[in-house]
Amino acid sequence: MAIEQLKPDCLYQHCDPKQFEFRTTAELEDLTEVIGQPRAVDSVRFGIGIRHKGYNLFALGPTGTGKHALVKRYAAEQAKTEPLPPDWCYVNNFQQPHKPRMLSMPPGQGVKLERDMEQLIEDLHAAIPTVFESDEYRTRSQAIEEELTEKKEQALHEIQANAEKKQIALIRTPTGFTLAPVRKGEALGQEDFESLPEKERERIERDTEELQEQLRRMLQEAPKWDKEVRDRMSDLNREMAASAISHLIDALRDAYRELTEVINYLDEVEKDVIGNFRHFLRHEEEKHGLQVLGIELPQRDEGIQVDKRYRINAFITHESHDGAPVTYEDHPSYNNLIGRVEHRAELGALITDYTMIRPGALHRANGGYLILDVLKVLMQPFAWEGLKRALQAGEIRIESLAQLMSLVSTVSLEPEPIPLDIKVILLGEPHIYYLLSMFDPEFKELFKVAVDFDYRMDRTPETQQLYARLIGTLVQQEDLRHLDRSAVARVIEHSARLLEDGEKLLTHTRSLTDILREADFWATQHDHKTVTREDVQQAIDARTYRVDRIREHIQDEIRRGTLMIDTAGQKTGQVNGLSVLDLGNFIFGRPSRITARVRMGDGEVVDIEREVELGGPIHSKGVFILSAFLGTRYLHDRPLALSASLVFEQSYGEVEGDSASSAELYALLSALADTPIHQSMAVTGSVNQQGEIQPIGGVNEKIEGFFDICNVRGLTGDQGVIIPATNVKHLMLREDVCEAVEAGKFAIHAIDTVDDGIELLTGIPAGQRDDGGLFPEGSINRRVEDTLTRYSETMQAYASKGRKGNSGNDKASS
Amino acid sequence: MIPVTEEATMRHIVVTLDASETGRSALETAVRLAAILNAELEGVFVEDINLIRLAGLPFLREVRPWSLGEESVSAQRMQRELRTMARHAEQMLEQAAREMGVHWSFQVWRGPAGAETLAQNFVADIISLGGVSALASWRMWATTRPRTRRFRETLASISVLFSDSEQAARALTTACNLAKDPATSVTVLLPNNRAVDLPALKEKARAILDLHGLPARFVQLSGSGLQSLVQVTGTSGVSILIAETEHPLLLQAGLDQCLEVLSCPVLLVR
Repeated sequence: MAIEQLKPDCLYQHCDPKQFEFRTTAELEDLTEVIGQPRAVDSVRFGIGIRHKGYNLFALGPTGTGKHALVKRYAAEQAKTEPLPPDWCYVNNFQQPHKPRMLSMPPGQGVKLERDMEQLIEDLHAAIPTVFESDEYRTRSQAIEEELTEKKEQALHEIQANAEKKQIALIRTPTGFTLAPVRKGEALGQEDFESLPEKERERIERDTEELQEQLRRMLQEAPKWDKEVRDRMSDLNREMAASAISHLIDALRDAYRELTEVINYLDEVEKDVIGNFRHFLRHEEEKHGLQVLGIELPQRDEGIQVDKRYRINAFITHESHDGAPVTYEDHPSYNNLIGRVEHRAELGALITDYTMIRPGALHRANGGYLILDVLKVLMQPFAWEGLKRALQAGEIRIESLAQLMSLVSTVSLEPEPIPLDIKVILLGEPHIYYLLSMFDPEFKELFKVAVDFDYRMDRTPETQQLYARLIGTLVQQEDLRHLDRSAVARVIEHSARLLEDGEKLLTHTRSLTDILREADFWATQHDHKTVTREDVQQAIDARTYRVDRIREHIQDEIRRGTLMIDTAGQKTGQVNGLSVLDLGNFIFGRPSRITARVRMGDGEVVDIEREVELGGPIHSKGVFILSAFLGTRYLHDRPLALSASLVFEQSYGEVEGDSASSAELYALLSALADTPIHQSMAVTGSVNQQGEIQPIGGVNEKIEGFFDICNVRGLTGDQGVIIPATNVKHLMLREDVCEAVEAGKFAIHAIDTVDDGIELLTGIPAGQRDDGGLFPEGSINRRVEDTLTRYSETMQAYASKGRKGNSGNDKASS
Repeated sequence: MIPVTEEATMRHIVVTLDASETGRSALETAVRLAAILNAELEGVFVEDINLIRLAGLPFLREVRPWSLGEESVSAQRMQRELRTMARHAEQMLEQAAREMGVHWSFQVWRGPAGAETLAQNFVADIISLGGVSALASWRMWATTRPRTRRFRETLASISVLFSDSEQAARALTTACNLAKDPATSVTVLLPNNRAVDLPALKEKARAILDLHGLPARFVQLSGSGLQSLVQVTGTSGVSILIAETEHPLLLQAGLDQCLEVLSCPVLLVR
């Protein structure tokens, strides 16, 4: 049965501009809905709507499919309907300064409290000195001190008076007091004393001892009096400080009477100010400490400076009324996510306090939505762990990495954790999602909603209309020239070509936007007011030209005969296979000569690519399928005594994929049948054990690759490509290929079986088994079967000779 | 006759050096005055002869008020400690004098401690006295660590014991010289004596004050005894008291007694 070549209309799925009623995209309404992503849209709606722990989102899809824009849009829409989250402030913990406290208050109140506390500090600097410089304070404090002095003086006077009566004086020494016997105002020396009568000496010694005992008792009492006075002074100080601060704090209490946390904090501030009122009494010059080389030395034992001590770190504040926050963190390092405690270097030491706590993205997005690029998170040390820990704990605990790793031993803080109520949306490639699902058990618990973005959608008249609106919307967003309808049609065709499928459209908005930008550039170059089909075509061609240097070199070498590809004549055991080279941003087809050699052997088909470790596993799989096919089709009841070798000639890189397996089979069949193959044909397609041809990828590039070679050498009308019939729907061939086919200069054949292919390649029927189980005489299959049978019988003959020889040997030995 | 060129005649100021608070104030005042009058300052540290003399008595114990420790009084230790104090006093004087650019000298005087004795033994235009009494007093021991003063600080309040004498006029002039800063107030203390023509005395004082362009407060003492003086200086927070050496109140109460009860240094003007 002759295989018909494909008609030109099968080679390219045109988009008819006449189906569009608009003249340019300017006439189109903006597309408000998302097209081609119904699953993703439903998932986003579900994920954003559900308010349970662990229902965070993972938007998976290729980069450029519009994941970010879509999730941000839906999150923003939802956020508008949600309340503004509270403000968070860090304040000094007066009991444990290294554990700053957190205050939560309604939005907007954080900034207000910060301002109010600044004002309070200023007011305290004025009010407290005023009170302590007042006549009242001076008089009362002096009175207390005077009372003590008088009490001590009185006690001392009593001793002095007693001493005087006994002609003894209480006199001052460099370090204390002593009692000395005196006569006429002068102390008695040793000689004077010894000249006194014994009784007098004894009396003096006794009296001195007595007075010393009194003095001792008095001195032992004195510290208690001092303590008493200190306590009274302390009470007085507290009373005066309280009088200075109470009216100021009361005003704040009144302003924040509905905020219990703030009221409690103000109570603590009041107590602390009263306890530390002296800090507000310093004169200007005393506020500055010692300086060394112009650097002020920190004051010892002061803790946080007084001006900072009562300051509010308005950590997270909200002053707008736009609802819950939607935040995207572009650089999700650990610190940028979790927040950090900054330090200030002072004379080689790192100093910090609660005013130096800085928020992270989790803080800023708390109460709303945080969008993160998962790859960036995973690439930042500890960021992924930090994010998961925060989500699991339901709170944000700021810990520095150095602290976490115990790398640095310095003064640091342990800020009170902030409760976390957030929806995290991760954006990433599908393989990252699957890897995390497989290897990170916590991932499934924390990111339960998968938002799976598709990169393609069906191509129907309706979707093409929507696609036109999408193009119009992108043009509007990017501020580009509008497209006329022929240009839109060309963009749609290009979209299908990028997808390698005439029945589908690409939803990869970045690729689409790129081609629109480039077409706009060429329209500008040609002074077109609107982008035309030619501008789009030029954009496509120019893009190809920019990246196809390697393709050109390869084709040039084929033309010059360096890379040996025949496009005419016939060869046995040789076929033109087709492969694609993927350069990342450019894919092109390249013909390869595949050869096969056969001889009698032990049933092994040797894939030389695999033997030298240049063949990938899928390619090897294809070759093993060939052995199975040959054995089961031709010699199902006897051993396959074949040794065959297959090779990609002039291939020096790795070969992967099974798209050449049918070509390899044709080469083998040609060699076995000893029948030449037309070299004007090239083949692509994989084959299964039944001999059916299966679809492959890159069909357009492969056809164009062979066409380009033939075109350079001159199209003869015999040249063509054999492709799997299942690939016909993927055809979106270049215009020049279609024209050549239409002119009968080039042919594309779609086949279903190996028999179809070998018939086309050899011009000889493959042949079907008759009722007797035999292939027709002269057919390819008959020739193959005959060769394999011959090999098998010969092998059996060798085997029986061998057995006889062995048994004779056995006898001899026995 | 009002002396108007006191600066020219007051060339020698003696100050007793002592570690007590009043002793420091006395030094401050003396240095300040020496700087204003361009006078020579002489610091005197008194080694109480009684301490050396009694040191041999075996039954005596020295009691220390802060540590509550006790030790026998030995002559060697006493002399060593007095030398240490003298050295410290000299350093204090040197530092203060250098800061104000004043010519100074220092001597250790061994004799009976006491202001009166000093006043008799030293010939000087002005004697600035702090705590020089040999008798034990709590005021000698500051209850708190004294704040480090700076000599640029102004005197808050100066009181002058004024009388009809020429020395009293010199005392008031000295006060005016010290009260150059507008923040310093001058109080003229007038005697409580019916025999004195109070308005005339006031007029005389005002004439001196006007000459220096200074305002002053006039306060008449409530009595003729020391108590009335204590009352005034205690309530008004006086920084320094200036008086003539022969003022009847001081003569009557005794200089040592005055210094003991007053909480401020005394500047005696001859």
